[in-house]
Amino acid sequence: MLFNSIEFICFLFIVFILYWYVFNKNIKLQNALVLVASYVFYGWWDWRFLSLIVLSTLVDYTIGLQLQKTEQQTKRKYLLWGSLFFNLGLLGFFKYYNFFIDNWIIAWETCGIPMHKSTLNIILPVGISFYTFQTLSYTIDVYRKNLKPTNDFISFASFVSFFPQLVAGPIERASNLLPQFYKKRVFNYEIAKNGIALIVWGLFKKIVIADSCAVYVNAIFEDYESKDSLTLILGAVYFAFQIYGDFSGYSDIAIGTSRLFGFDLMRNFNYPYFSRDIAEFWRRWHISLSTWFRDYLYIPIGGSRGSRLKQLRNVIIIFVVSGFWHGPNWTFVIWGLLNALYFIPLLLQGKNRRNLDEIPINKFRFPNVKVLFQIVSTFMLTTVAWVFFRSETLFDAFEYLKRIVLFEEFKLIRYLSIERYAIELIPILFLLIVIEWFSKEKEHPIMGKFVQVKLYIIILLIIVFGVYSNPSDFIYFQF
Amino acid sequence: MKLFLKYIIGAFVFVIVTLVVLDIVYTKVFENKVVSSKSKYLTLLENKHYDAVFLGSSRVDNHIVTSEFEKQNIKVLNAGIQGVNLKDNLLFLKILISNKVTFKRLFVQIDYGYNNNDFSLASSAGLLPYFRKPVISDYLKSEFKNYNSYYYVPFYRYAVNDYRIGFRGVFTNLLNKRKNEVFNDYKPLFGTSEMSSFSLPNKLSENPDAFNKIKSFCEDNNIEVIYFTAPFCSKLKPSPFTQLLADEITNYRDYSTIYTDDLLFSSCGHLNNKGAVKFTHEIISDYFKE
Repeated sequence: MLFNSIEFICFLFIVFILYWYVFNKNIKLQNALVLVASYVFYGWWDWRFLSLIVLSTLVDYTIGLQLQKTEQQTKRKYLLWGSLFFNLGLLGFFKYYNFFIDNWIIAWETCGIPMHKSTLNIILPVGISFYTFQTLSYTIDVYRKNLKPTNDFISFASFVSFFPQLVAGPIERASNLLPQFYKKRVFNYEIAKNGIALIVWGLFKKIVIADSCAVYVNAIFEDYESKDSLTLILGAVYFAFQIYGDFSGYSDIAIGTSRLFGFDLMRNFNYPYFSRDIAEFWRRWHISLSTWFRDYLYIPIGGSRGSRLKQLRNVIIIFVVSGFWHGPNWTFVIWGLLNALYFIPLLLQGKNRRNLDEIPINKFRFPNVKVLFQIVSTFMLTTVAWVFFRSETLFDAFEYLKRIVLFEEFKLIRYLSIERYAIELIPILFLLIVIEWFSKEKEHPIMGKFVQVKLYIIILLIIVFGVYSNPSDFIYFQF
Repeated sequence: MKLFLKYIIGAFVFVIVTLVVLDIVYTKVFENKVVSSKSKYLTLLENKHYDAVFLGSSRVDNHIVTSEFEKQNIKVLNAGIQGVNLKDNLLFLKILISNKVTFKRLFVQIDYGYNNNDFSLASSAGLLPYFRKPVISDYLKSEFKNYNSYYYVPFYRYAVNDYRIGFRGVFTNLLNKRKNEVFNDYKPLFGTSEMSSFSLPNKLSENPDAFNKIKSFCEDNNIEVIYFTAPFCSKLKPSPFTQLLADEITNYRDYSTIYTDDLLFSSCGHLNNKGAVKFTHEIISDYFKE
């Protein structure tokens, strides 16, 4: 069930009414409703996938309880490894099996040893990477004794499958979301209103920005061999906006939907394209995944402690694993590695935490030339990396970048002949940048003064500029 | 909660009002007399008389040179539209008849499209602003699965066809200064590209629904109809298809292999401007010379 569909609006309306009008007296019933709604939401794609999420829930719930029962460190370790093995095994099988088999065969065949190919036709369950990491956060926190394991199975199952963020995050920590299932939720008008505003803003980013860009991006990336340099540059820039609109739009809708039910999810994006360096970008982009890796991988392997060499190793590991998390393709690995290469000079100079403050602006609320240069250059670096993320193969990515540099033709006319919107997309993106720039101190633009007017203007823009003829899935569903 | 429900209802009412207003505005813009597409041109034609009307896809739009007919004092309407199927042709035929456009003869170009029974909305989206015209809505009732949404939900038809009649289409219409006559002529193609081979199917569809409907409509309305297959380049692979069409259809003429000179073609299925003029003369001499 897509957020940008009539089915979801009807579904949300029914669940909302039942939640606040029928089951509002009993928190357990409310949690049970959330669980049933989440399973319906997830089963809408393919009910068979439900078995995996139920199995994952049962395993981690049981391991959590077992961890509570024992103080014996060896046994606790075995239990933790059991959870890791099960969850990552499931993820590995469904997501990476064919990738490893393919590369294993290629490696042997490169050495001149012919191999029999035995890949399987595996369908990737929607959102498996997200809920796997969410349940893992529970087991690890319980193992570390940062969180008390729960005896309440319904609450735990609702936490694992909470429908607003189930398929594409934010990847919630058990320590943040799970306790919210224990407390009575009271409807708050202001929070719910804010939730609606966030949903509308998310829809704008998805339907207007991401889906409009997608039309171009698909046309350009699928036929990049015939495109000139300017078109290829625009293709990469459009993809940068597509993935931002798509993913942050989803996160906004998820957070907004949760607020309608009295839940507060973590922020996942904080105007990342206004970052002044790549370290700041990663503090603003997909925050829930970045902090997950920081807490459960980067710090345990040493983080920024130890020798320079160790620090470099840790940075490379975290970025490469983060890239690989996105999918079984070398393009994601190189995307991660490229980001590591961007990050390393900052680390070596000790400047990776220099931009923790707010972006400085003058009295007209514009940045100075230096800051503007930093923002633009960070965006350009990110956009180059996105080419790897979007390309089908490494060869395509390198060829795409090579053609930008070598083809040397900058004729707008070729670009204009690609698709329907022609030049209109550029002012639409400019509008997004302006709106976000002047709202960057706020959580989202539909806040502050004249909320109702802003909301109605954004609704109008969604209706007029939205793409309805060819709605596309959210990109991160595939991860 | 009551406040919130009021808030939601307010937003919902705003959405409905916006959809209704936009539907009215878009429809008004598209219904103006500035003709910005061929489908609009054909829809707006009223009370005209022609010696012949040519229906078809790009293989009519790019091939039938109306000015060549005019030189012979023959008044012809080139009603070919890029990318349409026979089902679309039938709808345009019905629109012409309902608008009191009369003609002595109807020419319908058929080829592999004979086997295609689909309605090609992509090319006929320009008709949707006129959706509430009975001739259009009655026809599309059986073609659209989501007909009720098209008919009853305001702005739906513009939203789901945004690439043709959405925001950009509205502006194109507002700004378009082209004269109506542009759309009554053919759309020439220039030059010659490297020809790639082209295949026709090996057999006819057992249920050529679209063709049968055109045929029975013409019979019911006493329209003299001639079916023809426009030329293909020399790379057309041998196939019994046109012979099967000839066996099936009495008033059929096969021009598919009349030209072996590929310099007359822009691509294998499309004549260039020189080829189009030559082909038009061929038709004039076959059907309009006593």
